[in-house]
Amino acid sequence: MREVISVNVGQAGCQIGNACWELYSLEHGIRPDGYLEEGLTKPRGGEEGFSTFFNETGSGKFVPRALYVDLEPNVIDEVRTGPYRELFHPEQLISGKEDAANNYARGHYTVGRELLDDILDRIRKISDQCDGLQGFLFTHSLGGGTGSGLGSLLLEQLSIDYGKKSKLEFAVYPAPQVSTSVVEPYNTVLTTHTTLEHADCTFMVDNEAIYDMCKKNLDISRPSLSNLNNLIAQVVSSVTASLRFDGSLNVDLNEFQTNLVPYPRIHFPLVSYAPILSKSKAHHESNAVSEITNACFEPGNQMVKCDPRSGKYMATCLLYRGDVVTRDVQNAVAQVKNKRTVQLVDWCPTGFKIGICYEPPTATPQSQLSSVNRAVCMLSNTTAIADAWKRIDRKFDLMYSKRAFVHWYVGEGMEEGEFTEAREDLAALERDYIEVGADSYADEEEF
Amino acid sequence: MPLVHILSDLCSISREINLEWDWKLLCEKLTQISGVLPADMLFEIELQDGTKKRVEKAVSRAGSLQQTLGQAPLIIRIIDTNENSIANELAQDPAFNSENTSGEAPSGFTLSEDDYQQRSDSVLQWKKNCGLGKFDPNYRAKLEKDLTFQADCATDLVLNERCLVSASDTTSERRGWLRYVGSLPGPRGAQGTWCGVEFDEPCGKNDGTLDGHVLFGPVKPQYGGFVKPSNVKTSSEYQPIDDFASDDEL
Repeated sequence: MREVISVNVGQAGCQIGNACWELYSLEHGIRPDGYLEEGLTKPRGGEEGFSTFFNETGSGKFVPRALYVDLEPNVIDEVRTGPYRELFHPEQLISGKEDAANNYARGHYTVGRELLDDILDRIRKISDQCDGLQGFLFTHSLGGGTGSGLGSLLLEQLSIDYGKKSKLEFAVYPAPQVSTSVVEPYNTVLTTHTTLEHADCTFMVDNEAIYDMCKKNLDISRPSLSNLNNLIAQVVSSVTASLRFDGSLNVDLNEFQTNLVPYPRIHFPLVSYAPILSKSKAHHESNAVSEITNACFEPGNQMVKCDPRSGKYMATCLLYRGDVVTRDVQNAVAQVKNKRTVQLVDWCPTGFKIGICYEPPTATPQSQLSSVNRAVCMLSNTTAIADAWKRIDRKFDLMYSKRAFVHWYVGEGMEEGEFTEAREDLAALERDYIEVGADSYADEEEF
Repeated sequence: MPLVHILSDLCSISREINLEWDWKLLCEKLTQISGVLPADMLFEIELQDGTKKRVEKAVSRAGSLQQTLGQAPLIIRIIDTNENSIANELAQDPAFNSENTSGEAPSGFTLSEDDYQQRSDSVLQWKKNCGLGKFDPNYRAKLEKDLTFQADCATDLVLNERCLVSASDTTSERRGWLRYVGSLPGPRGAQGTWCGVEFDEPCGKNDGTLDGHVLFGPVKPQYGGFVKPSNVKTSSEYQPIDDFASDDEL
């Protein structure tokens, strides 16, 4: 048994968690009340893979190995009263009374810390139900108070309590153009600094990129938060599919780190997904393996806005699911390797890793995404993602040079020195990415 | 609780608002999101029935939102009436909302090269410790051979002459003017000799400017680029290609 515990923190984390668990349940044939769909004698996809994410109670009910945490009650109350209320044990849903007010310091030091013992206690209970815990899968935002503050506090604590168990994150990165709050740059820089040595692999998702996909590819004129979260869930599901379904290649949580992360600090692979098709368009697309593979190199299929053509690749994982033949995959990968725009770091071993899971993706009933017989999720560690850090660092600098809103953090007991320390760490991270891209002198390189 | 869209110069988000709150509490909550101070707030509120309402000096208003508005708002736009506020200052800074990451913000934090060298957990330190990249003697030798080769190629080139830029895996060659031969500044880690080309078509990556340094031009955006000398040949023979020249007129 190689169990994985999902930890959803803060509003964004919990809402993405909802979308993910709904999708997982559908994929495995679990009803919202936790029992098998009629006609099934066991969960779809094989019991071993399934049990990494779900725990079976004695009565034939299945319970997600998941924890929801938020400092304010609203979002978790929706889970408590929503259609999936019976899926979760009440102890898996932890909410406080006072929100983090978009403030990292409240989530990390004051309000968040009060809940810490409770949370760790519940995580301990869930881990006691595991035979061989692999690690943790976090979903949280980098810009919100709870997601950034409490999320990083938990990651730190899990490092202490669970040593070297893998910790992967799906993190919502602030959208470049629209902020959900004015202090997002502070929260993002602070939480990234705190978690840099604790997270093994972080997959970032930028809401603006997802928003554009919903508009352009799914023809949703005004995408709602749940549209965005459904699409994010589809991506999370692709990444975890190989862990959840038997007979897949690439079945360990720590393999993502092994395959994608050459050096611990450089652990932010860019995620792309294809196809993203609306129901009306789906019938007009052939959706061949080579087509969806190539689509992953289109900026419109990336979860974070950056330009991989201006960067170098350290490693690439292509995770296929559905009706896929190995020969087609090999051809598609050969094509990709010949692309002039794909430049590799030439002094360290780089690789293309392939994962195939033969279960096709599932579309939820209310999702605009068409169900397709195959899809691919590309995880690529490229130096281009440093653009995301540059963007947020610049905003941080503009605000911090005016000491704007810093007193909100100091008022919660944080020291100003933590701002400069965090910012310096991020500057070093930017510099690290340059260092990764340096020393290559390939003929095709161009500026 | 109704979901309300909150807008200001610096933020845009949907939030649940409790209509039982008084105005002071609403102002405090919105300060955390928008950065506008309660005393400076002016609200333009769009209600569910489409009517619009202006609420001035909201923070000192008595009663709950329900009592004042009578129904749930759809949109609350926050206007900062204080011209010198920090939120206004940030909103008016063009750098704050631009996606452009090139060039340094004047007040930006910079990590000195010395400080970076001192860090024990950096990629640079890892490369040193493990003998990777330029710290690998074999790689270094290969690199230096290549650097010399490129420098040799560059000696045959004529500056400000027509040129042809080829690439091994593509049939499409590009033509233009050779405008620059030399090293590239900036932190990109690009070493050795490079050729700056002004292309005939927008098939480059910049305008002759790299990380704020103007190396030639500036020419029109995407008409400039920097390539390896081994891929460039100069001669007056390489005149611009007219793609339509060979098409017969019907």
